[in-house]
Amino acid sequence: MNIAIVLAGGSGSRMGMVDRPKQFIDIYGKPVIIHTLEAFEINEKIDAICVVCVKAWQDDLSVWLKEYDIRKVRWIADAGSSRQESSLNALNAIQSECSGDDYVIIHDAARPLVSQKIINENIEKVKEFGACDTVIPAHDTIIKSLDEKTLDSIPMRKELYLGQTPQSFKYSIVRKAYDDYFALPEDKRPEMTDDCGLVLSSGITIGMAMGDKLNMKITTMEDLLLVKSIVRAGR
Amino acid sequence: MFAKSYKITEPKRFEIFVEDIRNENVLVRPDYLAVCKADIRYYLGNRSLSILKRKFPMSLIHEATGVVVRDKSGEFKSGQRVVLLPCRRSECDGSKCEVCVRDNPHLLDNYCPESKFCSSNYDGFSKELIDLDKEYMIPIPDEIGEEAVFSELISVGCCALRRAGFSEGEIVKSVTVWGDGIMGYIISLVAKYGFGCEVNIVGLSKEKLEKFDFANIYYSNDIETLPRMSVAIEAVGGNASGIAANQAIDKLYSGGKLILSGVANDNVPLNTRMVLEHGISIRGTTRSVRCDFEKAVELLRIPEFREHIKALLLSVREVNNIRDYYAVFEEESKSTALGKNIMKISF
Repeated sequence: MNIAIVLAGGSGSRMGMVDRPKQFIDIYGKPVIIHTLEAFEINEKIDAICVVCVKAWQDDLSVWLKEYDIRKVRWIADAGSSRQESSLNALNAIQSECSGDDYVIIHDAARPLVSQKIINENIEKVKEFGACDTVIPAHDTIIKSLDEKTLDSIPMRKELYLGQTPQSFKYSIVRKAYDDYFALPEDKRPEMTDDCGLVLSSGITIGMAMGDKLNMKITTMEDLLLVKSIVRAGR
Repeated sequence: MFAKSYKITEPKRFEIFVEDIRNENVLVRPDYLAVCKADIRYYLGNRSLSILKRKFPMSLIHEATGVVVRDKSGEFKSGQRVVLLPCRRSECDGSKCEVCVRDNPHLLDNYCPESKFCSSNYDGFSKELIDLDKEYMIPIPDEIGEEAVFSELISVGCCALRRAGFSEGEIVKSVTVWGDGIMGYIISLVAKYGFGCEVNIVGLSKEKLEKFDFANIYYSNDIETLPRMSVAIEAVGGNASGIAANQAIDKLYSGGKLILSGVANDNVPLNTRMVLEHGISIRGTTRSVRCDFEKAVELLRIPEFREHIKALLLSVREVNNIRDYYAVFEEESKSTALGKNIMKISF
């Protein structure tokens, strides 16, 4: 079984909005999260979806699922206080209905332009490697700075990629990585920005699926402007 | 849901667009596409600039198959392979023209000035996803493979013979086809396997004519021995279509029919004296409608017919991005081979 986990637990603080998190913003008549869920809904390889959602928005989400005829959502899990906690809540939610050999495809709700090709390649690669990250080559030079004032180093660009989502895992692999992580005392847990970082730290080889520049994450108002402009050009 | 499409915005310029698809009918993922000469004309800009400006941006491709993703009515199952139909129903109420052609069984919507046709005055199938009314798709039987992408061309051949007056179940003794290109090949095949005709083919290229192993071959520069005929079909197109049509007029029996199917860019002079003297009927044919597609899919179920269609499939190109898409258009625009390099798309 292939289960999509869509993370919609963010607050949208970087956008400055106070009334709703970014994943619930409307883009031409439909909330961002619904655009994202539709991509998984229509993918024939995805069997079920788990949405991790802030509690205050779960009722709205349920209404939208009905309104937009999203049928594959089987679980709505509570958002945690961190991304790791949110992912863990999703893994716990689906636990009773999946086996260690099933696959989870974890995706940000705020990336509504994810394509079928990306989802399919994730499923292909996770079956090959047991874990898979979606990446795009870095076309801009990446600068490393430790003090936020001066350059520390300029890593070789050809070795660098930018990470996107989905990030996909065999359930048993990601489960163990999370159990090990949360078994550590809170102050000993390393800082991780995503699920792949956590799985990689447990020594698992992670395959790469090719992403797409269009699969951008709506994090700032500028990102929202870009996504809306892209969609408007296609209307 | 969002889905990518590739559109031509000016000659030799494709761009990526993201469309918001509403699933109101049957949601289909196009999988195999074939480039038509009409697509090439847009790609190369071989139309007047004023016409092109009216049409662009537009998704090209009207020869395509796809896979059903979701049908809310439940009629089509998810995963069902389908042939995609490019002719769109006219919304005209019949009041715009003095004579409405839509109810004429020989003409139908195809000749209604209000009709739309994909990759001509309506978006074609170069899309990641498309929402279509079920009347614009026909299920592909299991025994037919990727060669189903030639269904549109086959349907055009069926339409040509329908326009020649051939009716279902009728056995026609013989037909002579001018044109050793892909359209001549397909019309000849439809005549042979759809109507049991003896087919005479008139062409120029030895290499191409050798592939017409089901027909009697004649060279266009030596038609002395070509028997006279009742039905001739011109499938040459371009400037040579006039030469072909006049050869046919010379060879037709009195009362014979000449069907013109090739697209000529310039006006073509015809030997009207012979047309008058022999009472020859001339009919034009272009494109096709649903009944022609149904016949095409039926024909593809015949193993011998299918094998001959497979010979047109030069290669299957994986198209994963717009660079791959460009490459196929470049190659097809230069190709003179009998057949096509088709695209398997995953945008």
